[in-house]
Amino acid sequence: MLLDRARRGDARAFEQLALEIERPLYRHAARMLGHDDAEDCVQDALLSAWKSMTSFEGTSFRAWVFRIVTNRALDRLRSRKRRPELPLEPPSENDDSVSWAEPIATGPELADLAADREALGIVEDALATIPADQRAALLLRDVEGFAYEEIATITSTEIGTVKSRIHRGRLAVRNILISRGWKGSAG
Amino acid sequence: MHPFGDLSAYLDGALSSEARASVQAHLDTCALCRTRLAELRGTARLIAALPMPVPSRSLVPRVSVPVWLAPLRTFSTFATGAAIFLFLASAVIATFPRAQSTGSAAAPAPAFSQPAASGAGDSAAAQPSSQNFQVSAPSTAPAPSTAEKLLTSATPAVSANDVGRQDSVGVPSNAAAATRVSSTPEPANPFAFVLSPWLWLVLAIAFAALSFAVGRRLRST
Repeated sequence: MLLDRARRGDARAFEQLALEIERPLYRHAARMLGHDDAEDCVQDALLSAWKSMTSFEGTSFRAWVFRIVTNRALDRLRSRKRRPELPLEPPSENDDSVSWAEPIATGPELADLAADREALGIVEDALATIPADQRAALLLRDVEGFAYEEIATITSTEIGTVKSRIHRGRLAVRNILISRGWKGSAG
Repeated sequence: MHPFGDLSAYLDGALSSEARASVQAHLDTCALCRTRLAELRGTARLIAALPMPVPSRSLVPRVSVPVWLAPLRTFSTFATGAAIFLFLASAVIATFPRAQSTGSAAAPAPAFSQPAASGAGDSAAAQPSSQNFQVSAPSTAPAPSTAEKLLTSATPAVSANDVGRQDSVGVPSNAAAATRVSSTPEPANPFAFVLSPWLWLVLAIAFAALSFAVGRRLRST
């Protein structure tokens, strides 16, 4: 098994494992950081993973490396402080406090937007405006397909916090789409 | 009360069985929550449908080392040392004949002129060595014989000026003739480039650069 071989210091096995998740890692880092820093972030994370590979005791190599990449991306964002008006932590974990924007009557339904490049562009822009912790949780769930428990491990938080971040982030993206004229009803 | 805060978790199947049943019961009777759930589902699908960016280069660090890399570093290290040694050796070989030819006039002169100067006084010692050689030579008896030995044993690289100087101190003409004969150029050695210090210097630098690069590659793993 590749993971066992990599744990024993087999560099080729590690490279194969890393190659399998290289693109998803880059996708995640690019949406967290932007394309400029994403490559360095992923490469640093993979090198760090290799250096501590022998001490890795978990079962999911993918979740472990995503944790390293996510932490590094959040560290870089904190050091940037480009958007100090957007806190990394949401001010409140009370999800009912988040308002729901009302859709206007005209406009396509959300279900029709998946093939719409313009809508995808809006989603990408919307993701860039939400707090980084919400963005990380939302991407890990909706793009990478991690379970809430895995996301809690990756982001070193409680499941309740993960649940709140995902909901708030998803709702924020939905509200931005609604504000851009899309009709919010979809089956 | 609407369970808005649980809708995303419900959508993702992350609620406990009790909470899930409760939300399901509410959805059966609340059109607004069904609409909100559909909006969240649509949003999640849009996020999942985002195009995948592609990195411009490979991001997997090359942690595996080719088997030939370590021997290559050893070889390049030894080759660097050998090239440096050959550079020094060829440099000495290349400069030795020149030192011998110039030394016949300049280098031995101080040793030769010292005893002459002590006999001729401080004023003679203050003169340049070549002048000491010519001026003080006749003043002492052993000096000419020493000069003859030096000049007759001189290398083939002795110049015409040196020969003329020999005549001025009374060296026998047959000795000068022998010197002239031996000063004829030798045929060019086709492998003379092997003795070029520059060749070994360039090789030493090249091997050192290779050794440094391979060592750095090995250290990065």
